[in-house]
Amino acid sequence: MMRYISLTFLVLLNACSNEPDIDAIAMEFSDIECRAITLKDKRFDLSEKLRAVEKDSIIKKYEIDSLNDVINVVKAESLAMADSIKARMEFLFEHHLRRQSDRIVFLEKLKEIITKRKCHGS
Amino acid sequence: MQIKQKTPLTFRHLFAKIILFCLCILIIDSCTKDTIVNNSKKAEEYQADFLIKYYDHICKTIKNTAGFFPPQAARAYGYIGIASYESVMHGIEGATSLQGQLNGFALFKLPQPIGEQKYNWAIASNAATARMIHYMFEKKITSADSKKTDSLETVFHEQLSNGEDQDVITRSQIFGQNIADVVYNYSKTDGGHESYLDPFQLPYSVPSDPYCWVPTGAVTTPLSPRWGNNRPFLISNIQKAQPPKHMQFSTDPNSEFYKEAMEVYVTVTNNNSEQIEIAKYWADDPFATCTPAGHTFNILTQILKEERATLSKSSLAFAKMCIAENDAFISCWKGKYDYVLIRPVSYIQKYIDPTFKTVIGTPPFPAYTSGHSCEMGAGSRILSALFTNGSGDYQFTDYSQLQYGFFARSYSNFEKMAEECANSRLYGGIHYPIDNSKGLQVGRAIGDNVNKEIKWPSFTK
Repeated sequence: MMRYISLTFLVLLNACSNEPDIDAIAMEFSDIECRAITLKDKRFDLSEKLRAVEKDSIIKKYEIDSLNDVINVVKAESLAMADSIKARMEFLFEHHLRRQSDRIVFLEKLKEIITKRKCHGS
Repeated sequence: MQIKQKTPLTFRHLFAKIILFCLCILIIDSCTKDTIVNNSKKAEEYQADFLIKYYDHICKTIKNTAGFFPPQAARAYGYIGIASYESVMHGIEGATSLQGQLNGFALFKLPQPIGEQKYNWAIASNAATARMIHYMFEKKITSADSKKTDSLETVFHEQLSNGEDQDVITRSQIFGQNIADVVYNYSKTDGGHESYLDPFQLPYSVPSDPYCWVPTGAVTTPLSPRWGNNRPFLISNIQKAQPPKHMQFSTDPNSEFYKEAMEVYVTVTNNNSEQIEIAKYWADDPFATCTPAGHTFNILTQILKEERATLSKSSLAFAKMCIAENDAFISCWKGKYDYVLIRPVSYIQKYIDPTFKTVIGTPPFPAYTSGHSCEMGAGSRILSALFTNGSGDYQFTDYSQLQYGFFARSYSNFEKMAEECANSRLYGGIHYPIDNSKGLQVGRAIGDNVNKEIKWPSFTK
């Protein structure tokens, strides 16, 4: 009987020591998320510029072309970034943040860090 | 005269009784397994990880493939979901084929499992899904996405074949591929076949009445004007789910129409930062996402992952959502081109304030009704039926937009989520309030039709 109690205690102890360090995970994740936010802002800015330029499409066709070149670069960067974030997030959720409650805390911490870092804007 | 010994007789009698009892049990047991193909494991005994990964891949493929606008994306999802479901349906207790239930599908003969032969439904689903992805993006898929589809299929096939007899593997794979072939042939007759090659369906002339759509950017012709003529999966999704005519067009400041436009103007002018965030979050933003329908599928895949849904539940969930999303876009697009209504930005700049600017870009097609509202209205009903008792109450956090630089958003009810999505179009300045309210109404009716008019298995693990 004592053997089972000791084993249970050890398992519980082990589980406790494997608690994810959500602060550290969120801090690390905030680097790539920050870049994704910057890219998002760039995409919306470019979309806005495109709309403005399109109004004078005959006169400024060259501007639309050059803007589209920039858009293609930002789009490619955004898609690559989305892949990285998705892969990283899936890894974290599978290995470190298995519990739903941990994921919620992680997302809240991430928001907190990003807000402090002010990585919005382009 | 010999006297019969009693003991051996009793033993024989007892033995016969045991045999009879076992036979009865066997007969009763076999009677309870009605639609399930004997000898095969049930679909609920397989994990759905591979199927869920395919939906992540479909989202990426939509982003990378030219010509996939929201209607085209919803259609691709539609037929892929049907093929996946049909390939596992025989392994789901109480399931009925969609063949006799979807509009026009009965003309195409689906393969049936052979007698008492054993099948591996996961292998069949893998083969059907991969083949359908190739079919639906066939002419424009990038080499990288095509190779990725192949590599996913190979890896999953190997994993799912582990420990299975070769004849079962081959039979299941061929069964899945044949299902995909039939579903693809069915898809060719709906009016949207290879529509990604000509998504603007030119030539098309926009009527020139003052209430009619005019270009809001460089794109001078609206998207997919004949999409509403496509064959829906359920006829009722067109016949019973069309919006009423919108209010009379007018430039009179006391008119209902003017008031609707004013509401857009006032909302956009006074948007707070949260409303701007919501507008962008649901916009499924410029250049980088797999369209609004893709966002809804991302939400569904996330929930299926979190619920650790089996192959049975996941196949059912995707089939329902696929049918609803495809039909939501057909129904919505029919309304858009029946009414060809001018966008708020065009009206406001002409009659209220020429300097008016929207928060996000206005997409190139008429206003009434909102595509986002239709598709999310339909999606919310499917999610509610799948994961709630019908109330829609479900606590979850949508982190699918994190990859695009948005904070995760939390919801406690699918219907409320759909309302936020619909309102986002008002905050964005691209839809009148009536586009959103009627769009939600149409979408919800479609979701309800899909839940109720199709015979789905009553309980799926």
